[in-house]
Amino acid sequence: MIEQVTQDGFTTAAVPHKFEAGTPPIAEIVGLGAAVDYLSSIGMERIREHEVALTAYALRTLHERFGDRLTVHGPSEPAMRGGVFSLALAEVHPHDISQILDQHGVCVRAGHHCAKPLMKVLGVGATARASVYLYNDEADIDALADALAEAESFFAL
Amino acid sequence: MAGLEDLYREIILDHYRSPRNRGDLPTPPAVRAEGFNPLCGDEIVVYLELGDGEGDERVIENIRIGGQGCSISQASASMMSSSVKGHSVATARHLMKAFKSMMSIHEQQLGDGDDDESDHEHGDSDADADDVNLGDLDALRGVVKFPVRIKCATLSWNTLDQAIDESD
Repeated sequence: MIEQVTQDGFTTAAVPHKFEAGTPPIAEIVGLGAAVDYLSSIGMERIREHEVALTAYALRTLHERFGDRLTVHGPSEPAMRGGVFSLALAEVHPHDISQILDQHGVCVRAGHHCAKPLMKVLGVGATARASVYLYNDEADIDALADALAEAESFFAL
Repeated sequence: MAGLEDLYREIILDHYRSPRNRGDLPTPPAVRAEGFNPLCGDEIVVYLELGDGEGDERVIENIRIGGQGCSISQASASMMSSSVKGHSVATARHLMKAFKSMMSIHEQQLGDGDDDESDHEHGDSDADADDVNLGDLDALRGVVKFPVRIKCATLSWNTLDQAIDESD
């Protein structure tokens, strides 16, 4: 924000106004309102129920298909966690997992997730992390499991 | 669209599964250099032992690789160690330059404006890569089609560069 503007110079307003020039984030505020309306129309409790049910399906499916070869970090009780799965697949590095998953249309984040101290506690350098939410269903979990199986067979010794 | 076989060539997987020159060397006489890829957590440790002589005439008597990371970073480190061991520092620098030139993103290969935010170095000219026999290293050529993985492939070479600097 300015204080004075002339042909050959300007002065700024005092801090903090000096740094707060420009249009406020009007589109973002309107967008946030629309998102709140959308979530409220579905109901946050129902969204959470869907998330927990999908999480339970994911934990069960991944365990059935991979057993001890796949580690899902975090609590094993679905109600104790969000719909986020940080994965470790034996013998396959998270970046290689994400590369193969990507080729199978499954998007995950691989790396330390800006949480290096946590990686140290977990005893890993990185994880591959999948997330599910309202707009996912069981078919997406199956696609994740299929792609993980591809990664496992691709890197099998 | 580039396929997985462009990235994960059989020779790369072989180096990943059976890494060459894995381990460490006593320091001194060896020097130790560490390289990190802060974005993904990959880590390469290079132990380098040079013979007697002056500057780039010195021979890389021994090299060992430590660290952990994805298949591309670890295979590239293994291949790097095999390609420079027993050769002069001058030859290693030559290979390094040729390899980095191969790993440079050329706009015409990438299509329109897919800009990796990396600080990869562009080689002086394409001729660098063509003049040098890269041998097994050539198998990593396909990595350039996967811009986010280029840093995985160049990490060990940058770490070797550091180790050479520290040997001076």
